[in-house]
Amino acid sequence: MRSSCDVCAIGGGPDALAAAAFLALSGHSVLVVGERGQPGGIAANARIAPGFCFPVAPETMPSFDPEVAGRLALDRYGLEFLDTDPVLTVVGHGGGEPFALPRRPEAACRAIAEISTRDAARFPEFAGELGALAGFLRRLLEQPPLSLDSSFENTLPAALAAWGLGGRGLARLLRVLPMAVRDLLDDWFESGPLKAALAGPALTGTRLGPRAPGTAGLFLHFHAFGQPAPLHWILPPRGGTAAVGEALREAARAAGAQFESESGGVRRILLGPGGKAAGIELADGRTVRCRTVLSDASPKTTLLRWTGAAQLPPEFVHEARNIRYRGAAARVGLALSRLPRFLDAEENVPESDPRLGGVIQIGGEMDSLERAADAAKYREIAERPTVFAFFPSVHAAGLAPEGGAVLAATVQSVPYGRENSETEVLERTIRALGSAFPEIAELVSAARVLPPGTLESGFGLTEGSFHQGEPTLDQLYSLRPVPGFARHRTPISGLYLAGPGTYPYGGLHGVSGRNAARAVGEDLKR
Amino acid sequence: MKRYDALVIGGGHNGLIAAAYLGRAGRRTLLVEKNERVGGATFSEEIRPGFTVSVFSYVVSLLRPQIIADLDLARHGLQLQPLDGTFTPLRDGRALTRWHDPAKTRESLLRFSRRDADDYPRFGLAMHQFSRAVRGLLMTRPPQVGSLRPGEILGTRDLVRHFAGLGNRRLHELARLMTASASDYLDRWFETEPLKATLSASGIIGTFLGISSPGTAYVLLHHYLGELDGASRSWGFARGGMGSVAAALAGAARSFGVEIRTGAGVRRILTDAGSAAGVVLENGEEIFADQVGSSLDPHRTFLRLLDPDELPDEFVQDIRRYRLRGSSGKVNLALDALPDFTALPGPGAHLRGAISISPDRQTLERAYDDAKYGRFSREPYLDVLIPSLLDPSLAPPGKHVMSIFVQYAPYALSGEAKGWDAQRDDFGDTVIRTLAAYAPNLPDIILERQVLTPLDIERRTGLTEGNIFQGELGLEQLFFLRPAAGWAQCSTPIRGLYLCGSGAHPGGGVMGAPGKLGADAMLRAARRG
Repeated sequence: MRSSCDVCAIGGGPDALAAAAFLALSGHSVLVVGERGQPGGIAANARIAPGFCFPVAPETMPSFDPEVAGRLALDRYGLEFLDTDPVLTVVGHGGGEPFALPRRPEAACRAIAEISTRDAARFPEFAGELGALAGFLRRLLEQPPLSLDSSFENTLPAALAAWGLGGRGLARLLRVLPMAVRDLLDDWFESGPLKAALAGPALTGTRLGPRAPGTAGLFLHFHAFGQPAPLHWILPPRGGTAAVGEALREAARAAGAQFESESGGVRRILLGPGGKAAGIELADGRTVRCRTVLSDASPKTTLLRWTGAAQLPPEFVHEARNIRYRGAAARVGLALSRLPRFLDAEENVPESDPRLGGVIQIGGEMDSLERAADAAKYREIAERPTVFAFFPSVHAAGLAPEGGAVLAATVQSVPYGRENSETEVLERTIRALGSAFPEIAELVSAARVLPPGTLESGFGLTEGSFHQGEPTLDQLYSLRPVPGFARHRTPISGLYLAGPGTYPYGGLHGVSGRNAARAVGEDLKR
Repeated sequence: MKRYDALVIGGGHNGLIAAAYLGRAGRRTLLVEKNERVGGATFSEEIRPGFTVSVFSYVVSLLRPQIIADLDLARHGLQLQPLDGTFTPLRDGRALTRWHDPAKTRESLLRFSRRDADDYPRFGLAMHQFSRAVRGLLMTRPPQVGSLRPGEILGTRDLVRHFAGLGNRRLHELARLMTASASDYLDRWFETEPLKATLSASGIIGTFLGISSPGTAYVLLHHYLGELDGASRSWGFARGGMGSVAAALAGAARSFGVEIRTGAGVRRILTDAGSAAGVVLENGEEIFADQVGSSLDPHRTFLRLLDPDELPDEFVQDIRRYRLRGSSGKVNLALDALPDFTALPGPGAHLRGAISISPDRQTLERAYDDAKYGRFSREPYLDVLIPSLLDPSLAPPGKHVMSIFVQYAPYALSGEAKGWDAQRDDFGDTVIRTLAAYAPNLPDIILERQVLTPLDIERRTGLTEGNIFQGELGLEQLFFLRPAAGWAQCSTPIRGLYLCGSGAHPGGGVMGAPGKLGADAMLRAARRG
C-alpha cells in the first residue's frame, strides 16, 4: 500500500467509488479505503445461507445515473440495467386483483384502462408534464446546489433550464416540489392501485407517508435519475444492486485507483498545519498522507466521528448534530426453494410470469401506505408494512443455487431504535408477501433480516438511513447536509463530502460522487 | 338604473375592508351579503339570553395596524385587548404557563427545564428577526414568478434582493423554517414536551396537516408578527366579541359612503365580453358595476358564480386543484361558573389568556391520524378562551362564556361513518370529555352548548368545506401560487373581477390584508381606466 497519494476516497460507498474513478481518470493518484474490508458500502451482497445471498441496497432507490455510467463506461465492467416489464406490480394487503404497470407508455395506458378509462386518458399528459419537470431537476443535478454566492457561470445552466421550462412550467415546478405526493396524484387520477404504484417507490427508505408535504418533490427527484421518462424510474441492475458496487470498483481500478481493504477501515481523518486535511489513520494504526480526503460516509461519521467536533466551528457542529437521519426501512433476504407463484397465476410455471422479473409492491392504496407510515412515527413497526420485493436471482446466476430463488425485500416503516426486532419484522414481511404469493411461507428455507440498527452497525449507515439524512424539504438542496456547505466542501480545507448525505439523496446513482469529484478537481488545479 | 363603480361580494371582514378602502378612495361602492347580517365568520350571537359568543373566529390575530389606522376603526368602536398568556394544563397535574412577562414565563419553564428556560428568550429573538423579514411580504403583492413582463421581472428581482439581503446564513435558516415541520423545528430548540406541543399546535390551526408534517413550522412566525405590531395588537381580543369587529368595519365602510345590502346573496357574476359587468342576485335582480371584488373563496367565486366556459381551461383546472379542506370545528358554551383546572385550581390569571389542550406531541399527531382516515379526533387539540373574563358584558354577573376551537374535524368523513349531522352530538361530547379531563367540573357547569361542525361552518358562513382560511395554507398554495400561479395579484382572468378574500395572498386569519390588497388592485386598475 502506498503511504501517500493525492486523494483518499473513504466511506466505501458507490459515490466514493465513482469519485475515485473520475479523479483517477483525470490523472490524480487515488487510494480507496473501504470501511468494511470490501468497498461498495450498501452496494454489496449479504449472505442469507450457504449458496444464497441478497443485495443490501433497495432496488427502488433512485437508479444509477446514465450519464455517470456512460462516462465511466460501466457497461464494460459488467453493469447492465434491466428494462424489466412490467416495471412494478401492486398487490393490496390481503390480496385482491394485482395491478401490473407496464414500462412502455402505450402498454401502460392499456393496463390502466382496465381499472380506469379516465386515468388511462390522463396518463400521457401526466407523464409529459411531470417528465418535463423531472427533466429540469435532472439539469440541476448536474452540478452541486446553487447558493447566493454562486458565480454567474455556475448559475447559467440552471437559469437556461428554467428558461426552457417557461413561466408556466416554473410555476408548476414550484407548486409541485412542496406538495404531498398524494395530493399531486389526486389532481390527476382516481384509481387507488395506480396512485399507490406511482407514489410507493418514491418513499423508499423514508419514514414519510404519501400525505407528507414534500413527497411530490421526492417523486420528481425519483424520475430525474435514470431516464427522465415516466416508468423508466426503476432500472434494476442485473445481478442486483451489488452489481453497481462491483462495476464501479472495476472502473476505478482500471482508471488507476488503488485499493486498501486489509486495514479494517478508517479510524480518523488527520489534519495538518493550518487545520487542512492531511491524511487518514487506518484502524490498524497505519497512516496515509494525502492532500485531499473525500468521504461518502454520513456527515455524522465523517465529521463528528472521523474528524472530531473539536476541529470544526461550533456552529457547524451544531448543524451537523441536528441532521435528522431517521432510518425507517429494513432489508430482508429470503432463501426460497423455488420461485413462488403469484396469487392469480393458474399454471405452476412462475418462471414465465414476467411480473416476477420486476418489483412487487405490497400496499395497494394510498391509505395503506399512509397507515404503514403512521406506525413509524411512533417508533412502532407497522402491522402491515409496505414491502417492495424483487427476485434478483431471476436475472442473474450466483445469488441462489440451481433451482432455488432469492427474494430481496425492502420493508418500510421499521424505525431505527428498536432492538431485536428481526423476528417481528420477518413475520410481518412474510405475512405481507403472502398477499401476493400465498405459498411463500412454505418456500422459505432461510432468512436474513437487516433492520436499521444492523444497517448502521454492519454497513455504516447512520441510523440505518439509506439516504443518510431524511430527504425532507428542510434537508434538501442547499440545506443538505448543512446550510452553507452544500457544494461538497466542508469547513476543513481538503475534506470533501459526497454520498447520499449530500444533495441529491439516494445512494446508488453516483451523481454526488461525480459532483464532488468535480469540486476536488477544481480545487486541486488551484 | 343605478350603476356602481365597484361592487363587493361577501360581507366578511375582508369584504368589508375592501369595500371601505374603495369607498374611502371615492368609489361608489356597494357591498352585498347573503346573510341578514354582515361579518361572515367574524360574528357574535347570543346562545342563551345574556350569553354572547364569538361564533366562529375568536381572536383578532394579525389585523394590520395600517388598516386599523386607515379606516379609523377605533372611532367606529373597535377596542382590542391583548390576550396575555397561554396555559397548558397537563394530566399529571403540572402546568406550563407562558406570559408576556418573560420573568413569569421563565419561572414556569424552570419547572421543566433550565436549558429551555434559558433558550426561550433566544428563540423569541430569532423568531422576531425572521418575522421582520417576512412581515413586509404580507402587505406586498407577490410578483408573478416566471413571467417575462418587465414589471414582473423587476418584482421577482426585488423579491430575490429582499431575501438575498438577509445574507446566506439567515436565508438558510429562514428556508428551513419555511419547510420544516413544527415538531422537528422545535426539536432543534427545546426539550420540554408540553412547550414543543403547544408551540407546534399553532402551526396546524386551520390546516389539514399534522405537527410533524413538513411546512408547518413557519406558522410559528405568525405569533411573533403580531407582537411586532406592538403588544396591544398581538392576538387580541375584541371587546363585545368578534361581532364588534364586523360592526366597526361596517361603520367605517358606511362612513366612506359604502352602501351595504344584507340578505342579498349572489347567484351569478355577470360578464360581458370577458369583463365583469355586475351580479345577479338570488332574487333575480341585476346590479351593474364597473368592477366586482369577490371575498368569497376561489371555489365559490370561479366554479359556482361563474360558468367554467368563461374562464381559461388551465385556470379552471388550477382552481379545481386548489385545496380547501375543512379540518376544524368550534364549541361555544354558556357556563354557570368558571371551570376549575386540576393543574391550577381556582380562578386566576391563567384563565384570562388562551388555554391550550396540547399535552404532548404524540397526542396531537394521533389527533391528525384520526382525521386522515375520515373521523374527528378522539382526543382533539383544543384552543380555549373564556372571553367573559375579559369583557364581563358578554355574560350575566358570575356567569361565563367559553370558546373552544377544535381540531381535527375533517369536513369529509369516511364512507362508513354517518354524516356530520348525525355525529354533531358525539363530536360535542368528545370535546367536553377531552377538556373535562383537565377541568373535571366542566360538564356540571354547562348551561348551553353550541356545536359547530365544519359542515355547520360551511352552511352558516359559506366557507367551502368550512375551511377557515379559504384554502389550505400549504407552501404550494401560498404567495405567488395563491390561489393559482399567475393570478396571485387579486386580478382574475375576467377583466374587472378581483379577489379580496383569504383565498388570495396572504391568506387567512383576521388580518385583513387580502381585503386591502384586493381594493388596492381595483383602485390601481380604475386609475389606469
